[in-house]
Amino acid sequence: MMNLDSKIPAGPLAEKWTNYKASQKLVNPANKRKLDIIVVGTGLAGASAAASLGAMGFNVDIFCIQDSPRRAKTVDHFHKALGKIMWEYCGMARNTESLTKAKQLVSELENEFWKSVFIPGTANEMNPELEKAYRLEDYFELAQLVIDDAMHREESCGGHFRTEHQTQDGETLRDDDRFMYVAAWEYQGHGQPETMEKEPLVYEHIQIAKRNYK
Amino acid sequence: MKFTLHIWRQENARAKGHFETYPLEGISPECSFLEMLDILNEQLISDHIAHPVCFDNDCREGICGMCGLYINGRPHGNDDGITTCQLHMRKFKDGDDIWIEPWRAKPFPVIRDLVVDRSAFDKIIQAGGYISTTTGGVPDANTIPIPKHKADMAMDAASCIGCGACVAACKNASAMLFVGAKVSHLTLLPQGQIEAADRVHKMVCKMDELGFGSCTNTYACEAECPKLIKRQNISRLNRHWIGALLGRDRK
Repeated sequence: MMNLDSKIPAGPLAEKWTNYKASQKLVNPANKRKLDIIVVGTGLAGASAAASLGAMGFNVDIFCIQDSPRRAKTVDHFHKALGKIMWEYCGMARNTESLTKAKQLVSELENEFWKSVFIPGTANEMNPELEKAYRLEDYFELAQLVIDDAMHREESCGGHFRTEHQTQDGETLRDDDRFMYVAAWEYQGHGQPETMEKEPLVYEHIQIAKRNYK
Repeated sequence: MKFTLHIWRQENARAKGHFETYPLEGISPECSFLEMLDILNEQLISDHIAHPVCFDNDCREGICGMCGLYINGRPHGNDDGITTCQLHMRKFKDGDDIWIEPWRAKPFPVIRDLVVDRSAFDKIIQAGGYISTTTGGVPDANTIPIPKHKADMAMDAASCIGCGACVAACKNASAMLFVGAKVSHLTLLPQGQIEAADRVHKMVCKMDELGFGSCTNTYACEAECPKLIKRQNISRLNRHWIGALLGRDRK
């Protein structure tokens, strides 16, 4: 048999706490301030304990590990963030500076994705979030490659405008001597830079011309 | 806008399903129905409330036929000639209760929540919804004469996207409108007439074998079809079916 004894101090309710503080015999009240107490965690229990012990006169330190924020980051959160980086810094108008920034931001975002993406459920059921995560994993790789390719093409060609390469009128400036090829990139394994194969553009029937949109 | 969503949740084909209620606020009237569900899922995941609601979707422009949802008792919701992805929240009133269910038909078992397995339709197409003669390259326009009204009818029938709303709307879960559209669009054209009898026979037999119900001519299918496929396709199917039964070579 077990007796439940919650050790409620005697006396009227309003005086219980004051009486208890005075009569508590574990540590001499005069010595309490000499003792350091470290409370680990600032949840409901930890915070209450720290407050009570502090009120009793102990020297309380609290130690708390900040958990990741309660709101989990979804796959869509990262997908949209990736899209925004590409749109802002590797969009229709880009330059070396913006592309360098894009590269860095994508790499940071990818690290964060691997660290803190939240995918509910398991792999043994229908799980659209997991499907999306697998796709996004590829998109990160592809985004890096798109940036690398945009970086190496130092001309304004097709639908993309390198702001460093423009005429005085603000028209596109192509560099056919150096870049008249399609760049095909060969995968070299995860994290390895891809190698480029050049596929030269040879026109037999048409005249290479420059268009002016004015 | 503010809504109270009652969504059918079912973990897998064998589990027992039930309705779950989710309040949702701050939805733009310009939001499409699927975008609204995306927003709900984002909240369900990030606030650790529940497993996100599974729903089929792909093109989100009304041509793929993936996004079939039964909304407030109507396939693809309360509007005509549109798929679920083309339904916008402005079609609802602020504060509305919205009941969202999957297609309910025996040949379309639920996979999870609002996602059903529609491979029964693929099996019907595999049974005969094709032309097996070699048609060669693309011929010049008008080398095969086809009357305009027939070309139009074939084109209208071909606009069926195989979403399954006809089956879901039908009290008998009949696939007659779907099969009628598929048979019509091939059989109305000269290239499809060679195998017409065999095709209709195979497709109808497959449809019955898969457990689709009979047509009792209530035309709920026609009323709910997002591509406005006409019921005349069902009559055409019946005509061809009878013809096939009479004229079929029974070896």
